[in-house]
Amino acid sequence: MSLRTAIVILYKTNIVVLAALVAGCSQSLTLQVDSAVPAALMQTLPLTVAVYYDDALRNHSFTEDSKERKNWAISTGPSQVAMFDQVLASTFTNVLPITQLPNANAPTAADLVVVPTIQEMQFGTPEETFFDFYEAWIRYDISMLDPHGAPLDNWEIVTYGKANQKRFSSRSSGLNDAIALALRDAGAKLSTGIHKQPVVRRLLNEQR
Amino acid sequence: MNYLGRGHLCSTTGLSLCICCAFAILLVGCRTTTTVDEYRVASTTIATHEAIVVLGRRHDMDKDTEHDFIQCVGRSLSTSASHLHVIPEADFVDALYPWFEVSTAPMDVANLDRLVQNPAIAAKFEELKIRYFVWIDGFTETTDSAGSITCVIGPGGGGCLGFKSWDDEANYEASIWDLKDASVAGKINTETAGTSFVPAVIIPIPLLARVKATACNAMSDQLLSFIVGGT
Repeated sequence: MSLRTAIVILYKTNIVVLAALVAGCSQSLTLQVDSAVPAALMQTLPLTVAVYYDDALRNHSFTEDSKERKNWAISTGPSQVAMFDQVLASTFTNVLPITQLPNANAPTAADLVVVPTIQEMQFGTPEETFFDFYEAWIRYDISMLDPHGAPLDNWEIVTYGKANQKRFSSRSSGLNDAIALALRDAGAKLSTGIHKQPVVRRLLNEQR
Repeated sequence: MNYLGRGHLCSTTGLSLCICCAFAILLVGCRTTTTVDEYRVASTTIATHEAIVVLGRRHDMDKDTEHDFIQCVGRSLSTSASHLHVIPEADFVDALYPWFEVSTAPMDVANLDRLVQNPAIAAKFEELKIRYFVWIDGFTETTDSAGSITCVIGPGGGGCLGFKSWDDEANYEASIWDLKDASVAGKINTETAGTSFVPAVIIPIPLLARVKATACNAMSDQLLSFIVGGT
């Protein structure tokens, strides 16, 4: 290998290393949230509930392209659906997934229709807040409809997740942990609070 | 020649002595100090088939109790001579989901007693044979730091020069709840402090005070003595 070739290789290697370092420091973020919410330890409520996830929830993705958060894309849809499936299945005796909302002509054979939607999602990172942890907030709206699709009630749930910043771990990992904890919190609030909703209480009373 | 040789030897010995003394001083400085307080309300005992669960408090907006500290205490208790059966925190919280999440966990024994009224929870406690809950609240933090180290690298090599030190403090409080009697059996408080140094003459040499590890050992030893010791 000639000296000239060696210099060229060294030069190219430095460019690759520099590019990798710049990429590592870049503000862009693409994250597919990976979380697992366990089954809820509940005495199941003796109701049949139909659950409808709209496309906005199924394919939910938080996107932001600002000066501080350049090209952020955080996909939570599959994790959201998995959380609701898991928690509702362990809270009610029967859960029917439906792909279309019922109407007067096509009612569903359930006592109640539940339609969860995400209203808002916010994040906090150590670079922004100067705390040693990542944070995630999610605001849900849980719409409750009768078997004919008529609205009965709405229930707002605000959930929060906080994950300590770990040494040598990435921003993606920290945000994933915070979102996973916010999803656990959502499942906890849903499973421990839904029986207190007036509509559900009325339906449970009618069952007795 | 002899004089010169002796002089050289003397200066080398002197330098070695100086370095040894400096390291000895630094090592002494690296030592951690721990204060342990125990407050017992009731006598304790545990059968071989009964289990303990060690949980961290994470409801404050401030720093959370570290998961690794809780794991360390749990591991120390289960590997002790008494071989206590400690259920790992993550396993317990998943098994009891959603009742021990940050937003739903009982903050006092009265609330735990209310939880036990739920047949599903009572059955799970019975299945896991839980006798004691140990709730640990606190964290380790760096309270002060001083000095700096500068490193340079060039075509002929590189090196560092400087001195850095910092103080760590670990404050943890454990509250021991007896599930059988639905009461607080007692509390243990540990306060550990230590200073770490990094002198750098060409190579930085970290002389670290293992504050969190020392706090973990102190807490585990005291918990073991509290639970197994009895009265």
